[in-house]
Amino acid sequence: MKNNIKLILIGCLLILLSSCEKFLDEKPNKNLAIPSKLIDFQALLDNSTFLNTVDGASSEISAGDFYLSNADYLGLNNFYRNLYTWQRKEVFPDELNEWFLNYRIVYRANTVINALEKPQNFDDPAVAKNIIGQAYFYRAKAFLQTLYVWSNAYDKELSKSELGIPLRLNTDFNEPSKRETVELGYQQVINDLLKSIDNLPINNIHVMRPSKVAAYGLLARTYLSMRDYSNAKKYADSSLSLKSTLLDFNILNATANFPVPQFNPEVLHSTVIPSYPIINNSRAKIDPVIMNMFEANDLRKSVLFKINSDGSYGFKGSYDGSASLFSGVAVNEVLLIRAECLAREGKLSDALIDLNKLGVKRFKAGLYKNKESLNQEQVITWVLNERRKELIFRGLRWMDIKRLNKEGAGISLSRTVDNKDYKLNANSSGFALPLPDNLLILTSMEQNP
Amino acid sequence: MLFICIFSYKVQAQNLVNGRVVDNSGKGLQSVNIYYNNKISTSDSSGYFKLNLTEGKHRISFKSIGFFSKDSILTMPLKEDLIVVLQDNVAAIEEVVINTGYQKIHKTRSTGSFGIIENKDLNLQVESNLIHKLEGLVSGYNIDRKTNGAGGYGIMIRGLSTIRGSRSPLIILDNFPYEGDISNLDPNEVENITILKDAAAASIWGAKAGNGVIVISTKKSGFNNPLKVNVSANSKINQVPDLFYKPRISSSDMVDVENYLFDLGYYKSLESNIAQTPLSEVVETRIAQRDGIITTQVANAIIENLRSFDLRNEINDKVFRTPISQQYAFDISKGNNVSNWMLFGGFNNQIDELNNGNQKFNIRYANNFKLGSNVRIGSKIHYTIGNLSQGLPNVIDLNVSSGILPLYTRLYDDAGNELPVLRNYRKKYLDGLSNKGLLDWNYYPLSENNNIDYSNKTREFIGNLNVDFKLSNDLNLNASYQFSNQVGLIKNFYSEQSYFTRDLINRFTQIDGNGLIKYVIPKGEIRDFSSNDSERHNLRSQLNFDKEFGRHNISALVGGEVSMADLESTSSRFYGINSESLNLVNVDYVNAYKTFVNGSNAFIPNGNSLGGLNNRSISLYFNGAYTFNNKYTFSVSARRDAANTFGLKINDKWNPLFSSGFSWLASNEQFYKIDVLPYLRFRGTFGSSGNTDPSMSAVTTIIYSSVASPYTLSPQANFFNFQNPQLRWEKVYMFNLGLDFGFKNNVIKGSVEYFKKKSVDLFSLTELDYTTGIGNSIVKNAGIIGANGIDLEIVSNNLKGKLKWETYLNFSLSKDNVIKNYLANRSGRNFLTGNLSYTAIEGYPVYGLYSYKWAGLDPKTGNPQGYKDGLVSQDYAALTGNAVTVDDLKFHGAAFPKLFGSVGNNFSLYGLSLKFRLSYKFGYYFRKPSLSYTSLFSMRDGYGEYESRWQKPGDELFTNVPSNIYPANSNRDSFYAGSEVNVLKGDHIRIQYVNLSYNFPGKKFNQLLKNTNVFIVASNLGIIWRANKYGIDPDYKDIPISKSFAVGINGRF
Repeated sequence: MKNNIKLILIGCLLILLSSCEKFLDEKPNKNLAIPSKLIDFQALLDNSTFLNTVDGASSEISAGDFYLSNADYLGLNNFYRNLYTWQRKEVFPDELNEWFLNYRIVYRANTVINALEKPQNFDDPAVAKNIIGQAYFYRAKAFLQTLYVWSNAYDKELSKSELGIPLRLNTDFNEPSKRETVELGYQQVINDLLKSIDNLPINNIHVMRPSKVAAYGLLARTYLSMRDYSNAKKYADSSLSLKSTLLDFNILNATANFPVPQFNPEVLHSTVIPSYPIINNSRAKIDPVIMNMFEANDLRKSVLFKINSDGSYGFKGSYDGSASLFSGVAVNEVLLIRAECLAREGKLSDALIDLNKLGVKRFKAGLYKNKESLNQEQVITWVLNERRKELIFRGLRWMDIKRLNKEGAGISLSRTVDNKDYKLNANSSGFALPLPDNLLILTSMEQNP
Repeated sequence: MLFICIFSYKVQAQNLVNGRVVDNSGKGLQSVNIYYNNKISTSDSSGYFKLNLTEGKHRISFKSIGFFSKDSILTMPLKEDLIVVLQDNVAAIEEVVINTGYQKIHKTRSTGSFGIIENKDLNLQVESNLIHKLEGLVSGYNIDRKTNGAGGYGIMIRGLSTIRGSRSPLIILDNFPYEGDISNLDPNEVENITILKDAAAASIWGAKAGNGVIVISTKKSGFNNPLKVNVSANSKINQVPDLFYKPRISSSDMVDVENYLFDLGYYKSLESNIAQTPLSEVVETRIAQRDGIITTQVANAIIENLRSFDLRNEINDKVFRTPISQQYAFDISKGNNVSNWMLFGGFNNQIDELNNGNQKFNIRYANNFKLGSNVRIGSKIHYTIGNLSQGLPNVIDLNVSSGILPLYTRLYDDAGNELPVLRNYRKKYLDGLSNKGLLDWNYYPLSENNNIDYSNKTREFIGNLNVDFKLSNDLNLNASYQFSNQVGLIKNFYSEQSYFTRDLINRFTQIDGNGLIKYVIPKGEIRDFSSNDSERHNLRSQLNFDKEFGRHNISALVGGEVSMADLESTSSRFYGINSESLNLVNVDYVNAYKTFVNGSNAFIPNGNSLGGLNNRSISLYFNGAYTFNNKYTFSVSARRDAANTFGLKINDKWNPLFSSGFSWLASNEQFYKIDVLPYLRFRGTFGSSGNTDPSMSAVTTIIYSSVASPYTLSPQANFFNFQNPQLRWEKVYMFNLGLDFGFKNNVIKGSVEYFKKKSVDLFSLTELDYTTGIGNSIVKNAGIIGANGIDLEIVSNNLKGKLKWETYLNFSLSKDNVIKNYLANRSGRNFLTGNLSYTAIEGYPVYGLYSYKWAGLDPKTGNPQGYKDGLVSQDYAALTGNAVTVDDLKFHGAAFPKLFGSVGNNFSLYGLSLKFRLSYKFGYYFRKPSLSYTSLFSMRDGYGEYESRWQKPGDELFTNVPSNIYPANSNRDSFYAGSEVNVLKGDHIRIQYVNLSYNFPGKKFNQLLKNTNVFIVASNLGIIWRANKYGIDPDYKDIPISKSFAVGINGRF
């Protein structure tokens, strides 16, 4: 009797232990997964909260296209005030700052890139290629934005030694961060974008997902900021040959709060800068210099801007159709990149074709007069002015100032607020913003001068 | 050789003595130790014993727990059988049986540390929540109502064992872990509660026992038990919460502040904000005046009128009602020699000051029967029905999209009509919308609940089967299985008249150029459902061994346990319901629509989601105790656990834990001669237990959102855990030394214990370079904390006789100390987060209070001043900046009391008894709330000390509250908030309850009523002494729990 019971007990125990492994393999939470399937990686890249809506505002705040009233300036927190006045300390908060938001995108992209390095190993290589192409695109964009904010503009010679940004290419958090040269930074962006062009389909199912046409556009932007006009033109061409639709502003309702629709036909890839208090159109007032650049029949003055009670202007023309500022890639930007490159190459008539193509969509129907000129400087100026009007509040002006100063434009910025004058001289080191203060405690990275 | 000779000689000369030990009533006493000639024997289960004695005189001692020991001189040979009568010693500790959830052991044989609370002590307070009743009744038990880590019930047993892991102890209900809501349990059905405090006591519960274990046993019937009926009923009223407890800026001061800000142009940008954020009545009036819509005179009249209102008075008068609750319970039990049963029923009804209702109905049936002499089967069914209903909103803390409501807000106009209050949009904006075809967009807080039909139902079923086979005299096999099912269903029906529905419909209303209106969210009711359904299975089989041979006693158990819990949850929402025909309208979740107010794009909120959790675990355990001579006990236990946490290999999932202990009943020694102290026992244990966090994982995991991306219509996911291969479970080692004593005649009895614990491998947040992209910190098993303390429990019988007076004293000393914790960021400002989260600085308590050194207010400007590099400074950016490290801060002390406990006194005379208990906490600090001009300006949230702010030179002698400056400087505010003037001592003494009861002596009044008891109890009577002078109750984050008064009756038939 006793022996039988013992046997039964031992038997039970053995069965119990052998089935342990299976029993314990059940997932603790059905919504959780260890990322391994293609659907997991695509799901990581379709989370727009972390990829499409977190672009940084610091370049827009620093660039000088808007000003604040004294009361509004004083009502803002010190980080915004310091950023607005080009200070070198306490410019970024310790947490959830722009640096982190960019590198969070890099981590997500690296997770996908590291896992999908060999797309052919997956059941559906075409889908795998599409996903890894998106990841390369996001990593390139995050690196590029970080370079724009924290490094000097690209320079063939100086960039070989000037401090760029850390280029984290895997998910190992034990690897210390190290600032690579600006040159290496741009090379990385170009390589990533070329890989993304290789892998992405021409168009993706939604402009929230990167596509080949958007990657071409971003590569054109990259080369333009490097002042490599021939490559910029080449990739702008590639992009425009796939998609060049422009939105006719005549069909828009200028009285709406946000007249330009979200995901409109010009949008190639949609990302936004959230409407932080300092750039919200209840505070940020447009520099009158820009407002004065608009001609009488230009619809943009009423479509892109609202008039405040004090006669100043606020921006309402985001391609996101909301208070968030569109900072993605769109046809109008690519077109202006090509126009600028053509002008710089001396192909003035070609440049003017692009310029006029845009103008006719922006003016009241039938009232646009084609621009004509044989003067290269004139055409370049026209293009650059067009960039200021057309691409305002896109987060692009900061880099434009930096690269144009490299061309000798000598653009200095100045601000007066709370009875103090602030100035940022052309080509000064202040154009590379200081790294967040606590980053210097956490790492051995060097601060910008 | 010599020994053998002597021995054999003695054998020859021996006479057999037959004897019996009995108590006063003549009942045989078992296990009485009999000392004679340096030998020891024990009586059998009926009190009989046999001794072999040589001829001549012998001194024999009889000792047993609960009785006075007796020494006799016997002269051999005896003529007749020996009868020894031992006198009852009530002083000796009653034969308490401890239930660990796995076994029942006699307290006298246990080595571990236990606290036991009986039903009669629980019933002294009328409280629906068991957990809160325990505070003060047992040493080493503290409730934290304040910090963010408090978790479920905020229970802390013997201080902290973890830095950032869960602090909740494991709760066991009738032998199985209880994972439901403990407030579902009716306190009337609890027989007793055992708190397992040290590692040896808790180790049997393994990896979940690191924070201690609370074992709750419900009432049961015994065998051979005549029919018994208990009934009880009580009714309680509470005072309404004291809205004036938290000082707030007065209406009049708020008006002044807003006028001042208006003149400075502060509201300019808000006015043109397209989100139409609400502006207060003062600001709107000033705008209307500025724009010439009303005259200055009218404006001033409106504004001046506001100064006299106080929202708190209006709430007290027109919103609050007296909170009231009732409890009714009965139990019936009966048993014969083969079976027994018990039926319990309880009903609990509570209505709070805002008319929120909470009803609970509990029913339980348990029975046991014997099948032959070797099998015993027990079963239990428990069913709970809980219903919550919703009352009025808490207007004082109403979250308005631009802050909180100013105190001058009115809920009713002079004619008694309800007024709308600020909510999401400006009044001026809403007024301008009148003819646009929108629904009324005003928010009326007090009638809102008429338009919402809310119900929250909980149904809980627990079924339990327990089979006990007696395999032999020493060995039995026990198998038990428990199934529990908890179902919750929350319904929220928002009628079309509710603000919730009107707001949603309006926000999505589309009006085209021709004025055509399209309701993207259809008119009609919106219904939200959310349900969860959890099923738990626990299966345990256990082999128990208990053998007594001679002076040796071995008791051991070995067993295995498998548990599985599945939880499914579902939420759904329906729009456009016609509540009469129940037809509904589908909405478009796929496309974004321009919202009405600011024209930005938004999707219709989708209330649908699904979830599923699945926790599984397997455990093997062993526990053994060896007792020699009824005096020395040695115990060991070991346990391994495994669970389906992510990313650990099966071998790593198993986590072995062990413990061992000893105890020595000194008073049973023959040489023990201290008659005034007839009971004395020493014990000690050492062991380990664990603390798991199932959400921690060693591999990268992602979590899917319940809703797909609205753009690509594909699933979207986010990171949940980042790869972290070194993660392990936390471990707690504890050493415990105890001394139990009882003086003669029960004058004083009690226990004193010393414990020391060390928690290692603690999850600790390590600062991380956020360039890695995963955040600025990562969890590592890097922390070590130590804690030690003393628990003392004393019961003294001061007076016996007609007037009885007993005093209960609980005293706990507990101190924790961080031994190792990596702080990559030592910036001082990270350690001033109030007393709400851990600081964990090495060498200091886990929760410590730190502050900036204070150099007073500047006599010229009223600016707060601190010290920078030893010099007085007003550079707030520097004073609060990164350069100020933890080493520059002033350390005050711990945020948890170092010393706490209670003193209870029971007086009784005839049937009347008066019982009251004071509880005390000493040796800790808290940070008082303070005025922040930043929140005052932007959120209208001003602490009441605004009125004592510095206003003119000289004020600095009387106040520490900084002057009002514009613009507000958030660094200046945080310097003041974090300065030493705002750190106060938490020490206090409070009255926990006063209970007056009368017992009708059954015989005199009625034969049927064996015992009837009526009582009046007052609870939460509040603080009678405190160290801070601001009238703050340091144990509560917000308004402290209000006083309550209850009357009740218990009867037994």
